Amino acid sequence: MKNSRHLLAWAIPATLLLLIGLGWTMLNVTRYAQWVSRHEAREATLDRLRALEQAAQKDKAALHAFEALTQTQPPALQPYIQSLLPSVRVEVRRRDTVPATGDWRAQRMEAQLDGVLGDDLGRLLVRLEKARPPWRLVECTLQASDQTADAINATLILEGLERK
Amino acid sequence: MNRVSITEGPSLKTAYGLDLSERFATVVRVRKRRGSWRSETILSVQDPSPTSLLKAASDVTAEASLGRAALCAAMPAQESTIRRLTAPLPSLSKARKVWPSLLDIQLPFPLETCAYGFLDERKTADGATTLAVLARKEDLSARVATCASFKMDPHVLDHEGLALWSQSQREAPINNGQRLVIYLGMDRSVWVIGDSTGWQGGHASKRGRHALNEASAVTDWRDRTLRLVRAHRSEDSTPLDLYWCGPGAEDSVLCAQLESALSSLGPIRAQTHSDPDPFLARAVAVRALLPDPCPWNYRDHYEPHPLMLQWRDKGRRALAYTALSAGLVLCLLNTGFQHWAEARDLNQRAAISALAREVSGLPHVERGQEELLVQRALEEQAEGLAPFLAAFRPSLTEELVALLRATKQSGLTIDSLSMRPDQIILQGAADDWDRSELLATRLRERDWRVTLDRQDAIADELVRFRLTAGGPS
Repeated sequence: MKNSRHLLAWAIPATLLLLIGLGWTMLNVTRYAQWVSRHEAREATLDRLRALEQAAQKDKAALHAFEALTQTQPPALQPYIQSLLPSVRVEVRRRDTVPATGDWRAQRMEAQLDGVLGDDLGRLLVRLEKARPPWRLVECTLQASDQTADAINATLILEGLERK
Repeated sequence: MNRVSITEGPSLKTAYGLDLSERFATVVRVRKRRGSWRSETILSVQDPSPTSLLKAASDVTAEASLGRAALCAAMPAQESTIRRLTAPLPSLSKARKVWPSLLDIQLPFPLETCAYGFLDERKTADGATTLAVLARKEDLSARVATCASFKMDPHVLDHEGLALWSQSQREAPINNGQRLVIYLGMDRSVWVIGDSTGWQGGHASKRGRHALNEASAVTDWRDRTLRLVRAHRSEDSTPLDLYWCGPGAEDSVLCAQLESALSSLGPIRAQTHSDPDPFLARAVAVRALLPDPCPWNYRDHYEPHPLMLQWRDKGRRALAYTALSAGLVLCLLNTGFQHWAEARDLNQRAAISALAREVSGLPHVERGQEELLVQRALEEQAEGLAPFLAAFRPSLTEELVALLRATKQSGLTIDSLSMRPDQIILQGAADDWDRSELLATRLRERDWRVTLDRQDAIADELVRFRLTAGGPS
């Protein structure tokens, strides 16, 4: 009798534990498929975020290139053009300023050049673009000059990035 | 049908079988080996003296009392009963409820005075059937007392008829037809008849080899045999297989005489089981060790042997421990799996959150919204980065320089030129109709969509043209 009670005292928790173990296993087996799909969905999210990160890094590389420059402002337009084209009448006006990422801003300038030769204008624009930071041509209007043959009057809209 | 051994529970490998009567005693040791067995006769004496039995008993009980071997004997067939019961009930569970009543009405004594059980329960076309096995408790006590007088306390008290039938089939498997197993003892005979479906009937008599020297005893013996066989003989013409066993089976002259007495049964194929002398002792020991379709032990139903109870408890305890261990292992495995899965979930979420914060620059990104918030943040950042990106795109300067060079090379004069990243409007003059076309071709080569309007030369003989170009396609 004592043995039977002792055995029963073991058998009941053992059976319960086995049933719990089996039930738990069944539950985990049925949940496993859901877990795998959740896991795969998160992996896919991670992959898409990594793709976005790569694209963002590519974009930020442009900013880093500017930040690596020792000069924080493009050359002053009026004296720069004047030094390159001393015979041309130059008038420079500020158009607008647009804030850019960080402490940078994009500055648009309008440069009016009267009586400039086509080749000189080309060279000037190339030099401006090679300056660091560069001046980039956004828009231009050319009119044949009434004063001199082959000369033109040019209105240039240039954009340069400068650090505040 | 479930096949279990009588000593279910302990993994015993040795059993001692006893065949004890007043005129004969046999003790065999049977060892189990990979589902088979090996038998060894320890004692086989006629008219045993108490001294020789006590000596054999001391050897046997020493091992048995340590729980390393089972000590097995059988209730003499004349002191135990076996009946085939049938009940016209479709359900075995219902039939189980009526077996005791059905058995009780067939007995000349009250069922309460018996140890009994029901074996081989199965459904048939007519309902349910079973083999009822019983012995009176006073006979069981007497048998246990007889064994005890030789200092032996058997763990198993089998039914003689069942043990003989089972062992006969083990040693010479039945194919088809009927088989009659006759145990010819020194002071008794036991008959068992059956076929491939199992036990059909049995009988016992106190006339053994010694008594069969008299002609009247042989006649009585023959009549009992005929009654039993005719009660169960099927009508097919296959010869009856007769198997002799027991100490009397070694007397081939007597066996031949008895076989000729049974000539009215028709053709008989008589054989003797090998080593027939300790056959019964071997039968009870083998049945105790190996799985059997009809395991039986009277001691389970009347005064169970303490060691058997211990063995059963041990077996059940082992089962409980196995269940406990399996449950624990499963719980541990599941806990481990859940921890692992949760850790992976956490790592993934942390990686997504960290990457989202890093890419978006936001201090906190709500869970599940990472991708959306990152996309929005990048769209916002793109606006601020646009001037930087534009600085690395092909510039308008390149287009303008190329255009100025082309107009010069083509000998064109420019009246006005308006140029934006997506549009060029050029008005000018050429001294030839086709020269402006050359300029248009060059622009088209640079992927501009060009429209050219020309006017016929008038007074100055110059061809005026207007070139409009849409942004590179």
